[in-house]
Amino acid sequence: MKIDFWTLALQAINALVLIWLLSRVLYRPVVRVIAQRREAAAKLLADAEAERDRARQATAAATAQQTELAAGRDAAMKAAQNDAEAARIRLLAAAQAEAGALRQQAQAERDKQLVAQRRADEQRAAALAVDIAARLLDRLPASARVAGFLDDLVASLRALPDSQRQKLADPATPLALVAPRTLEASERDRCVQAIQQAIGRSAPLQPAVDPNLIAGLELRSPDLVVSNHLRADLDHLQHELTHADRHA
Amino acid sequence: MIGSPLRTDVLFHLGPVPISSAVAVSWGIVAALALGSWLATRRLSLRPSRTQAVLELLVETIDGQIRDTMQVDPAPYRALIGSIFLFVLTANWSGLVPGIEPPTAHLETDAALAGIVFLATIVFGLRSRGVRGYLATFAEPGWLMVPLNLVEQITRTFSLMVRLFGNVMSGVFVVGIALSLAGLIVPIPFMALDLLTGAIQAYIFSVLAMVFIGAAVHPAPPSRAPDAPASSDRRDPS
Repeated sequence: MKIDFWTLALQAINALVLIWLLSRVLYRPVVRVIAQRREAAAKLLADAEAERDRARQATAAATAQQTELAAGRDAAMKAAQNDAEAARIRLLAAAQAEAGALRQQAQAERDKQLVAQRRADEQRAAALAVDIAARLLDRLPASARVAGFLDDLVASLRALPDSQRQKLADPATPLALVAPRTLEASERDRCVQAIQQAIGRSAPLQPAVDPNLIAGLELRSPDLVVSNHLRADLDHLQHELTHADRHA
Repeated sequence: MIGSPLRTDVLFHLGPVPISSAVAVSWGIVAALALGSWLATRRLSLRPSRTQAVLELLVETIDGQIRDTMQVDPAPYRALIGSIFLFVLTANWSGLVPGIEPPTAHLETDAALAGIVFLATIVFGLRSRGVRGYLATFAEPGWLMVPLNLVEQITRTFSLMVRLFGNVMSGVFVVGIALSLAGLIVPIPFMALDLLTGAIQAYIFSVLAMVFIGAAVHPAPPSRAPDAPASSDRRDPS
């Protein structure tokens, strides 16, 4: 066995040279690029972390803004509800007022119609009464429609105060004797004579005709009317009935 | 290889220096590795190509092996361990090229590599522990162990050399004998086995180098009770 020390030395040098060369051209560049990649990855991770932090902050801001918007929306909704409630109350009050006015108007209209209806009823009742009275009077003789009322007329004249009776007795005061029909001469003379005696008048009376009296007599002066006829009785009766209904 | 593995074939002389075939092949391997590395690392980028990915995988694997075996930062030892591994692997596989004998099949090459590991053990031990601390490792666990530790330094280096030499040389011999006896087809399984043997021997040589250097740069773990926590007293040689 023989060892060639030249070969041993040269192989050692070769190995050392290879170690030096590979450290220069292989390990250092590769390790450097690995370190650069790790740095880039670390930077990327740091950037991602920063981006995530920013995203979290943005999310928090968005959440806060959303909460604020929700609160504003709730406030606006509440205000709108309050406004709507106020408007509803206002419209309801206006509607109630309008309904009250309409109701009052309708009540007034109904009262008016009732009054008109009552008047019409009264007129029809009066017409019916007149008609009934006329039909009843038709069964009496025509002289009774005047002569039967003369005594009560004379009594009313005598019951007048003296001042009024004297005024009626004054010849300057025009007096008209109104009858429902044209009186016959005898009827007229008897009536005029009875009236003149009752009031103490010598002056003549002016005869007049008014069919509305139905039956009876009426003495008219510019200042005084003394009636004793069926129309006056019916009017009085109608007034009494109307008055009694209103008071009832 | 049909001659004696212990004989050095001198190809030519450079002055008084004889250049053997092992040296010439080693020059070719050094040139090929250096040139290939230079070509492969010219255009490194953060977005690696396939070649760059393979190189990064190689470097990361070497770093991982150093970190796992020596329990230290791999940077100071990467060039030594990685280069020894690549050189031994390439040298072992160079026997597959017709007409080329693996340099590791010659004892001088293995002796040179083992000697480099031996010197590296001393250098890294001195750098890590200092002269006193490194010398004190020879007295562990007691002064009576100094002679044995000194002998161990020599014998383990010698075994490192002989292990590599014996395995590679025997493989080359087996392939040569098969070639001489059975022509072209029969040696193929032996050549494949020689590939596996060459890779395993390169790995074993590198791992043993890491173990020797690792033992020199930080102390052995102290004896402790079975239930005591593990010691984390490790030194960074850098």
